[in-house]
Amino acid sequence: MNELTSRQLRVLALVPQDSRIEPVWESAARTGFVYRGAGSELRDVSLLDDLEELADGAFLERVFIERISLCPSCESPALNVHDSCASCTSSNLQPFKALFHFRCGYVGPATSFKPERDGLRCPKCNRMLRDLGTDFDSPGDYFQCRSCASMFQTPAVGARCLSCGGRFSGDALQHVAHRDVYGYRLTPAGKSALGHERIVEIGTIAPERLVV
Amino acid sequence: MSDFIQWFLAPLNSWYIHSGLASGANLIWSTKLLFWYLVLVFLRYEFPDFALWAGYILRPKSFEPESPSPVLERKPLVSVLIAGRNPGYSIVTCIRSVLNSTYQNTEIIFADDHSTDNSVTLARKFEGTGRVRVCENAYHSGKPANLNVALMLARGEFIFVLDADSQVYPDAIEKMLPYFDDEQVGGVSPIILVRNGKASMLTAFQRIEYVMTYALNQMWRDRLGIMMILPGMGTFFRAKAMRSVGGYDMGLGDDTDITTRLRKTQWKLRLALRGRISTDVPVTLSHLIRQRSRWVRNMVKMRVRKHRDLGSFRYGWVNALAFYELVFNRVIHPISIVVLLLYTHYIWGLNAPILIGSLYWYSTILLALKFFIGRDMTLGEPGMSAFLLVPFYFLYRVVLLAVQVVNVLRELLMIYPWHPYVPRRIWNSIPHH
Repeated sequence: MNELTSRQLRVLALVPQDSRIEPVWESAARTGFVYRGAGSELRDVSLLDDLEELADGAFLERVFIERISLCPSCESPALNVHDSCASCTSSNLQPFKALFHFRCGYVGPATSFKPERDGLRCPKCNRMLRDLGTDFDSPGDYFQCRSCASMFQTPAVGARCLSCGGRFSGDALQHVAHRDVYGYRLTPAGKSALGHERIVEIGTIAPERLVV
Repeated sequence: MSDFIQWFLAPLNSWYIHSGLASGANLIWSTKLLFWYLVLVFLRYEFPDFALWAGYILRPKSFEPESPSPVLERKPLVSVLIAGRNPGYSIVTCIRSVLNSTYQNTEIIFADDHSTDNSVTLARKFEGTGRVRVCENAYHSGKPANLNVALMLARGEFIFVLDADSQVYPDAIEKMLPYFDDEQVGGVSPIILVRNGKASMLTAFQRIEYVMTYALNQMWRDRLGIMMILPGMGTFFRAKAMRSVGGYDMGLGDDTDITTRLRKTQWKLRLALRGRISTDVPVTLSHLIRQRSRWVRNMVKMRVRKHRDLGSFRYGWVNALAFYELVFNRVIHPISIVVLLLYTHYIWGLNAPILIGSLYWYSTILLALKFFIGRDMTLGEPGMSAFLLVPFYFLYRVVLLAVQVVNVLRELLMIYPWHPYVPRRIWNSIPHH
């Protein structure tokens, strides 16, 4: 790419000389993010395609910012990832703490111990729990699925696409498509292009080319 | 010494067989105490096996549960609970054996007792199947606590407790479930076979022992309705029964303990003749001694201390008789047989080799018979190659007898009672009766 169009030059001029142009997260955009030329006529359009073209032409250098997952069916970035039940994939999970009474060995949700004025009473041996770590302890935190009552320690991963409504289990997410999001900084070639080329008017570019 | 060997081998020589065995028998008869003690031992240790086999030949159908089984037909969810500390790769074999069972409606819960190896990573690879859940304990707390955590997470109507170094035969779950057709059955024991029987001479002996001592023993106990121990390596429970007794108690001997508490609450316990699991047994002598000393101490703890009220007839006469039988078997017999042999050896002086030689041949011939009974009833376990070890089996038993006697005395006298099976901070807060 030897000849830069006037629009490309305008875009190049938006990149700060000593830093980089960064994406702005925008849920309404199809890609989920936009680059904006603040304070210029280009401020309301996304410049992604222009920036990519310039980076391909070695006028800009890509700086990795983020990797976003795309919905396996519609490629929307509006993929809502959440903890889910390994048995029924529901995301209706209730976290709870379990307690373990050393003396009798009882293990159960903290709510299964009877609360009394001076502490908790063990439902198995009917004794009071005294000191954490000495006569009772918590083996860990667990989840209970409100849909199927399954209890587990590590929930599975599930996702729902907020754009097309598709629901995906952890397995489907293993092979999900990604898009890398970059910031762009000027290369020496870009800087020299800016110094030697004259800037043409933005008005000469057809309006439909402005929207990505 | 040469005298000793000559007398010892005398019964092998056909010219001596009459005089050798007969003079031994005469000697035993002359010491009335020893004679009657040996009769008692025969009634307890050999007669039930022969009677069992006679029943098996005459009425084989009565050894099987009724089919079709209503429980098996409705295919209830079975939760397989595995608790382990540093099981290593054997956890993979264990989980795979359950996943590949002919009975498919299972969920597996592996409660990891704060392992320091890669067991959790290995087990987690199965989580993608949706049938395996791994749960890591925040600190080392012992097997019973981890089984209780797994029990809390279990959803199944039936609970299968399995050791991480064991695996189920493909049809084991299917063969064990029908026993729960009887609503009063709270636990079903499988037949336990040795998986690493070829690892060393010691494991080969254990392979014989697991069939001839444990399996046959469990079988006739099942016929009499006096199953007293459901093995910790693998046992089926009705979840309702297990929860009704509050799961496992802490301390040594969790399997004996929960079995006894189930018996006290009038649940029936059964043995599934064709439900088989296989397990790894200790390969080295030091491991074996450690394992057996733990078993012996469990026994004393449970029978002499924690559950001695079982002998008070409060829980029915069957339980009481079974209790006294166990005390005889595990506590009185090992001590008294040593004392009796030393005593007769002392009073007989030079004639002692005849006694030992006769006792040896007497017990080895009975053992050989039991070997074939065991093979017949467990469908070919142990393999015929193990028969070559039968003449030397007494050596193995002598070692175990020594371990038994030492540890019975140690536990009775409460010498160094702590056992690393349960961490000390938990040990300190459990009652030791």
